[in-house]
Amino acid sequence: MPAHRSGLLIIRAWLEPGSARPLRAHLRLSTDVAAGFDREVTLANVDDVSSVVEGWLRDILAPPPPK
Amino acid sequence: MNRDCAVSVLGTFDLSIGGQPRRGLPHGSQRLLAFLALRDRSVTRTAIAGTLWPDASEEHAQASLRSALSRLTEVERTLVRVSLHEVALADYVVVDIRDARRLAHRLLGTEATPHSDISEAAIEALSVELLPDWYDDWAVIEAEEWRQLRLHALDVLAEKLTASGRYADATSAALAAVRAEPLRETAHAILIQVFLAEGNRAEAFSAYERYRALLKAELGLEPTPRIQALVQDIQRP
Repeated sequence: MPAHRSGLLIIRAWLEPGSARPLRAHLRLSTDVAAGFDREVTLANVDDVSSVVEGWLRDILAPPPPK
Repeated sequence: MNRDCAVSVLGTFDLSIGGQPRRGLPHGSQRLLAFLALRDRSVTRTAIAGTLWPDASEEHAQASLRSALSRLTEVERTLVRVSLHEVALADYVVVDIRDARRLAHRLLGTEATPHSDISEAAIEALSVELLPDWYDDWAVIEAEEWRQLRLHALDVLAEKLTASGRYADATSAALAAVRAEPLRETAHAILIQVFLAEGNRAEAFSAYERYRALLKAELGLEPTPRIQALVQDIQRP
């Protein structure tokens, strides 16, 4: 990732009491905030959220595709 | 001095002076005016510079702030009060987010809500995101804070409209909350309750089924017992 780029990840989390899995986490991800968000996803599992965050960090570290 | 001046940060950024839109404002100056619009009081130059140009040295950030101020035209400069240490929007500048926040707090407060607040205009004001295409950290934080405030306010507004028998407007308010966060169960529950209050059991059940299908598709979950209880007596049409 070029040094001048910035990634941005926003996690908005809340609880739905009474649900079998009460966590809700809405994620918005960007590996280059200047281009806006790449995708959004809502998840209900801590491990799934962690997996997405880890994947995003790896994407930031990965070299850009050759032109 | 023209007093008909407004800064808009709900939706896209807009500046108007004398009721006329101002175009071509440099990006740095837009960011400055938007930042000041989100503050109800003066802000120190140091805080502004550090927030708007966080990756620059303090010296460069201060220089960027001076540049943003200097690139305002003479007329635009009358919108800001600048002192040696602080900057603020002039008191007469109308800012949409400030009015919208006050509306939301009145709806959520414990005192009786003014009749004028239970309105289509209120639904409209609470349905707009704050600077949705801005990704500065400070803008994103403000946008998230506004999102939470307006969602809760829309919930309450829908309930108040339902209590007033204004079911069409109540539906609009509830749907606005659903659109803002489709997997937030409270908004769906309120929508169902609007239809039930109206006596429209078929629509209530349809609304429940749509939420149920969405929740299943996105998260593999069933709705909570709380919302299931709202429709348990309704037979599938």
